[in-house]
Amino acid sequence: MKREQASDWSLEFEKAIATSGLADDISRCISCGKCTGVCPVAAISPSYNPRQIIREVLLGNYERIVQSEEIWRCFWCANCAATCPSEIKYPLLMLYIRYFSMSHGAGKKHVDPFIRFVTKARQEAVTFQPGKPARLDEIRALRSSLGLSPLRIVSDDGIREYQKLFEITGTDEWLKNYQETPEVPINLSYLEGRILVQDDSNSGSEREA
Amino acid sequence: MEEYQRLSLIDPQRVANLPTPDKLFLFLSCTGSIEYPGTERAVRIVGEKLGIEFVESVDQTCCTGYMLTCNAVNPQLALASTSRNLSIPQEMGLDVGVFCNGCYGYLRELAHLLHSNPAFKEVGDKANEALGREKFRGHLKIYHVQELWYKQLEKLTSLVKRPLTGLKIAAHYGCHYLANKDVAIDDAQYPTFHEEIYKALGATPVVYKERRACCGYSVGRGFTHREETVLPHITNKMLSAAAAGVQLMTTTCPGCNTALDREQKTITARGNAVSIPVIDLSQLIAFALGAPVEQLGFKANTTPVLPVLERFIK
Repeated sequence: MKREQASDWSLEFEKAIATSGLADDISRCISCGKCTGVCPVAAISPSYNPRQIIREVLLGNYERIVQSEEIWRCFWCANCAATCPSEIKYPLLMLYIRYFSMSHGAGKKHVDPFIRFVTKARQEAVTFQPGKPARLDEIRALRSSLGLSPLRIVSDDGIREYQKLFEITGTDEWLKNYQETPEVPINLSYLEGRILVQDDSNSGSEREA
Repeated sequence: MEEYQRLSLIDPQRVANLPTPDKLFLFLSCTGSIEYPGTERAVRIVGEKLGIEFVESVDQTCCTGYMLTCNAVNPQLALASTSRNLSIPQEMGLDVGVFCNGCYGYLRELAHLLHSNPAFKEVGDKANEALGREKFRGHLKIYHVQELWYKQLEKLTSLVKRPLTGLKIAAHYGCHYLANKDVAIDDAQYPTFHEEIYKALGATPVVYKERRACCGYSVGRGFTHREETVLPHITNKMLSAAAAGVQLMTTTCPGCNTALDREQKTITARGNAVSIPVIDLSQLIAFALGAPVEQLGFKANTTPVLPVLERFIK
């Protein structure tokens, strides 16, 4: 069984988050736990604990965060941010942590389902436009009956500009890299505030249900 | 005075600071246009009654917030598209009205990041420059239409054509409006302004236990964690509403509406029979103001709406 190593820890992690410009100074956290108290995910999966995740980040236990299943559970409801007395924007921290995890090849299974939306949005500059002709006809009929355009259509210029944004912001390249990076299997998971470590030979029975 | 009103934490100063505009840029929502087009229609109907003209643009794209928060694109794309989308109303000299909590929250947060972080501002400015658009200067105001409706509550009350007497309505506020605690007109943990709107329309507001619980659908967890957390969460929420005798629920976000309306089918199929129609607050207001019911697009809903509204249609 793999054991945690002190060398896995790094204070650079907190610095990396600070320089990302996404999350504010999380060292202001006073560990009051209000975030966890109002968290709808923690109410259902007690192993998910925002206060603990902030703690791990501050302690530099980034290996544990990167490989964690827990970081993908957040609903992003921002109830924590609305209640935090230290004004920490936890959802933005979570966004950054997820990018960080992805840059280590983890968490792909939680991002893959959305790549098709991106591919389609790049073509139409609208998200969620369905592909099935029958569903499209249904929408056309309803919208027309309400005096709206049959479908929400972005102008050709708008679409061209949106696609150009994919090029100039490096998103096309980012997506290509993402797709070419092989997935690193996740082999850590939290269990009610503790950590379980497992290697590939383990059947996974120690995983939290 | 009812219990919920005694606990009201609405900020009178912020309400007073809201404008009563005669013209606004309407920021279109992808989910709204596709799942519940009646919402967009209802926003225009209520706007018309209050003397607000909504202007839209075919150049406005998706806000890109959903793809960003699902980590499916890099942050630079969302920053650049916010900068570009907001340059459109800026060129028109208009402030922005939004009817989706998602678009509202993302636009505000990303506009804030563009404004406060020079590196992000450069991403936005470079993009607009490459597209031949004005730089986004960050001075325009972004409002959610629900707060503009509340601002003109007295006028709305005087315009009611179908008083919703006896209809038990409950609120789902949606997190991405309330989480903007620096501007939201009400308290994030105990909001009450929707209940005041229901009262103004003649209905009976109902407070249920899981009122403040989120919809569970933002950032795509409905795709990745549906069985594990999202369904148990929505089941809890809808059962607590049913236990409180709620007949109708309103949202201010097409995304929340999709989650709470569509998932009732699965919840019922799994043995917890629940049937509470979920519509947008603007649709409810438009209905009470006498808009023809065919214009409100209730056909799009999975949980039938007409059974609870029928008795108010003359």
